[in-house]
Amino acid sequence: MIRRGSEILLLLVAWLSIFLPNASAEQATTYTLGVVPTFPPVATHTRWMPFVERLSQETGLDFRLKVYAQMAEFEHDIVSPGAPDFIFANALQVMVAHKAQNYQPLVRGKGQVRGIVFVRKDSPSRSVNDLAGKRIAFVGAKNL
Amino acid sequence: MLSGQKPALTFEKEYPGSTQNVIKSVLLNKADAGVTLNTELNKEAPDVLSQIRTLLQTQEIPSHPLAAHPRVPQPVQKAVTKAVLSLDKMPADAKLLREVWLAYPVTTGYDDYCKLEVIDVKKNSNWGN
Repeated sequence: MIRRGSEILLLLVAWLSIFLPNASAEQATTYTLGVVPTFPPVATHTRWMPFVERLSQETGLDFRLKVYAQMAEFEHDIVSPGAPDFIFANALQVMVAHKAQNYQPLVRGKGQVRGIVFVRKDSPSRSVNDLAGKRIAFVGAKNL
Repeated sequence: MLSGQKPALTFEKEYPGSTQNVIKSVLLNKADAGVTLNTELNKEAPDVLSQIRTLLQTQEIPSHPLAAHPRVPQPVQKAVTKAVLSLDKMPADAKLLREVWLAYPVTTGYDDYCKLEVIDVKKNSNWGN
């Protein structure tokens, strides 16, 4: 009787060993979310963590926020083999990431943006061609 | 936008680091022109905007998307999309979306972004440096 009980127990353990590791691996899947470093890392973390936590609650999935100190670091990462599972990036970066890794845009804010070239109201320049050889201010080197 | 001008436009560049500094550079005559996004410019006070004139604006570019790597299973991608869209329905959650530039979320796809392929981003933006 005891021997039969042991056999049943062994069978049960063997059966569980088939299924438990898979179930556990599935539950442990954590998806990385890389965010373009528009702000310093601490500011990015502060802005994004409440959203990430809410996204986890809503989906039942685990996410790990990945922040970057430098734009170069982010741009390397999103075209590398260990690229994040999800990225939040500007339109041009997404285009490059799509070509390199086949990232697919899923969702975005409704608003669209336009680039603006402007001058002082009293400037003699009437078109961008008048800016040849002139000095032009961009926010950063990544603004095309 | 200026890098795509034909014939190529040659000009000197400066990078003051923020839209407000770009505007200051132009208003103080440190720069002959400034470049930024309409969404940033529109945050400025009317008296500041009254001192500048637009020379050129580009066509509309879709805002930053949340994008998924193809290794992410389709059901997970769909769950994330659905969750972001549903967060917009609650005021407190909608505020979270505004914080991360996903206000009034809509579904998107690469079709919205492929028109940008005409730009040689890696060359013109000093990609990865």
